[in-house]
Amino acid sequence: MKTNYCSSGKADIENAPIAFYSCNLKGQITYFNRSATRLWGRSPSTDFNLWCGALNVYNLDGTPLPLEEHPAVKAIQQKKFHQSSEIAIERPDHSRRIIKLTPQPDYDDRKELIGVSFWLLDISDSFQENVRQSTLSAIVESSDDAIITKNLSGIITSWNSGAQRIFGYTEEDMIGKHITSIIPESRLKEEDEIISRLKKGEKIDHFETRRIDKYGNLIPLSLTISPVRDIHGQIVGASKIARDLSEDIENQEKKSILSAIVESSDDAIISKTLEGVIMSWNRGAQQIFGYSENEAVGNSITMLIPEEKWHEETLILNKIRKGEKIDHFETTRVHKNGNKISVSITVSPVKDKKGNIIGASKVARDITLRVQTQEALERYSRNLEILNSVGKTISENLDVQEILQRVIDITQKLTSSTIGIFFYESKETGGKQALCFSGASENLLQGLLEYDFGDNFSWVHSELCLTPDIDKDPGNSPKIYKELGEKFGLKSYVAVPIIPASGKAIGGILLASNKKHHYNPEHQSLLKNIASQAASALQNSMLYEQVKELSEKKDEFIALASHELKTPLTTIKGYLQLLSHMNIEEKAALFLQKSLGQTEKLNTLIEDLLNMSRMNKGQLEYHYQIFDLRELTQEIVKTFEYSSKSHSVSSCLGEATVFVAADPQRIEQVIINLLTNAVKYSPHADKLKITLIDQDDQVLFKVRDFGFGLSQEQQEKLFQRFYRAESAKGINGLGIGLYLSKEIIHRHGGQIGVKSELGKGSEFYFSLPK
Amino acid sequence: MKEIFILEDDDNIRELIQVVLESYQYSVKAFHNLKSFNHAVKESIPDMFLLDVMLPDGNGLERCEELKTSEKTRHLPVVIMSAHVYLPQTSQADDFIAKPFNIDDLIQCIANQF
Repeated sequence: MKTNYCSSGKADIENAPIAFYSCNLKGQITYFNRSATRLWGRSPSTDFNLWCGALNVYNLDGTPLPLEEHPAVKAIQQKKFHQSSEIAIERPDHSRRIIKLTPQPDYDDRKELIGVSFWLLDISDSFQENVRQSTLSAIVESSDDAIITKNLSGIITSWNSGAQRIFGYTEEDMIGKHITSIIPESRLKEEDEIISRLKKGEKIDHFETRRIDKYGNLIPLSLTISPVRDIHGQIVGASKIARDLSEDIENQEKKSILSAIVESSDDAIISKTLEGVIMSWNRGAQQIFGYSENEAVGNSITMLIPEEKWHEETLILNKIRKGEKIDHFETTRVHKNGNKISVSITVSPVKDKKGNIIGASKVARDITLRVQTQEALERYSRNLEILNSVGKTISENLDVQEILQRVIDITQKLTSSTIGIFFYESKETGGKQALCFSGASENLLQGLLEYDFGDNFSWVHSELCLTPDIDKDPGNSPKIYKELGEKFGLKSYVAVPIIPASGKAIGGILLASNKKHHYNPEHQSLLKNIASQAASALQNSMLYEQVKELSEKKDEFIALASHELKTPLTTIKGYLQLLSHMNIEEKAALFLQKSLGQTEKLNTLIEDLLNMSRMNKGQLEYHYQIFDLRELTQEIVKTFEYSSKSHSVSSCLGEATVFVAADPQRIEQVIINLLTNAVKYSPHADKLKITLIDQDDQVLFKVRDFGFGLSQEQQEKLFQRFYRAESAKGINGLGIGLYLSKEIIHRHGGQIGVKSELGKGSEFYFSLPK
Repeated sequence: MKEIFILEDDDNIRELIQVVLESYQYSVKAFHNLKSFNHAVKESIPDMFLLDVMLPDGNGLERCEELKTSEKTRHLPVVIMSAHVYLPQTSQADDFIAKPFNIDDLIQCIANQF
């Protein structure tokens, strides 16, 4: 029913391009125009459809709009008009349109409300457009990339927050400014390029270049530039998306550096998951473990770990899971070929961006060489110590048998040999060998003792000789090896001769082991060292033996000789004395006295000789007594004067007794020696002076002569063994008197010496402690 | 007259001693080795023994010990002669004289034993 309008407008409305309809207060549709029909896609029945001619109505978000909430209803109820609202209607073909409706009141003549009318604007397209616009806006704003638009003159027309972030300028700063403000001078030409291409309608994709930010920094960017067209399709500007490549580049660089480091490292750098699966494997890992990248990646890390160390992996992973690092952990791993490798490992957890531990990276350094060197050093140092003590031991020892035994024991032990044999030829054994054994077990030693080694060791060469494996090339080895090998199961041998400075081998050391190739260069050098020390020690021992023998022989000879010499002397002296008791004339008596005097001298000489030899052997016995030295001296002087016609002795002995604890015979020897010397060395004088002084702590005895005296040099040498001060011609004597006297006095704990002046004479003295 | 048995292997010394002792009114029997000495001792015993130490067939010191142990002779004085200067302390000898000796000393020594 079409009512309520000025008739003039009716036709306009009917044909208006905009949909129009009215409904009464009950909601019945009273009128609708053609456009409404088009819009609704139907002609509603004016009787039945209420408030709206559309099939269905919805809210903008797509949810159904209940009829009660229809704008028409609201308008009538609230009597509010001219306020537009937007709803969605559904057409019979199920397409939807967004419409904007504005309610208008309908009044009758009496100005009473009789209904409501609507103009319906189909705003679907613009709505979509709006939605699209807002979406686009959101995208632009939220983008990390810089999104900038400019017109064809290059003036910036939009500037998003990404651009602000990258370039530092705000939207305010840049809108209206020329794009060249962010282009470095060197690249200005690019802008021309870009513009010309844009004008052609071309898009520029992923163009890598640099722009400058607010602070003058050059930013590496990847640009994508597209032309912007107006509704006529004309290009009116350009939109520019710029991606900041700095981080990318930095990351790239970091990555390549890291890559290079990992690849060039000699250490194994391996990464694995928390389950122990190998994820990466560098060249160093291949070198150390033998597996290629293909063979390693994807496999479990346990393929590198020897079975007995598997528990280590569990420990390591546990630590890693806790975020802990393991530093310089020394352990053993296994090469592809099965060999064990000593390594030092550092394992660190690998975290993702969120900080979760996702695996571990392992750096392993091959320390085999270092470990070996360390062990070798320790061994070397130990060996050096042992060699040192060996050297000391054998050089201190002069007993041949002991030297042999010690040397072979130490050598066998040091080289971990099964047996060691020392062959030694000495004069003592009459050229036959002395054998010395050292062995690992009783049985072995027993067997060695029973074995007949023969008489010579011609099989010992002039230098160290090694037989690493008796089973190989048995023809060349000495027969003795073969026999020993068969009897004792010995496989490798090393023999070294003992050659002292004299040049001729005096023996040899033979070592044998029941392991093949047992003797390495270290063993050999050790053996050579010991052999040379043993050679010296044995030579010393030999020399010592020889010297001892000679010395003994000499002493024996002297003892014998002195005994022999005394025999005829006894006879001579005896008969001379008998003669002197007979009735003879003066001259004869004189001659006799002279002769007798000489027999005394002879006796003294023989005694001296005997004493000296006895002294060497330490056989000189002292018989200590307490006696009066004054009395002894007086007796000696008396006898002396009797036999010495040339000199008179003046004594200054004091009045009291002088008791000393000494061997009277020895002291007598000393005094006689001093007196005899005094006479000998003052042939032109005629007196001697003896002084005896009893002091608090000692007794002092002095003999003064008035003869040649002695030079400083002579004085110094005087008490030496065979020294004779050569100041008088024709003086006989062995020159051992003072030496013996010195020995005797020193034995008593006293001092002996001389004060002398050339030409004036000498004073000899000795002291005896109380 | 006291009788002295001398045991000395050197002819000259033996003769000398005999001459000296006899000149001092001692009766002397001189032996040059143990064999003849022992033989004689079996037959008869003297008043004193004078023994040398170094003998071709034995040792005077040992013989001295024997003499000093034997019933027959232990009461008799024994004097040892030697080229050595002293007598071992363990010796049972009554006295000792060193060769070469003074005749006077020898006579004195012998006289002291009686």
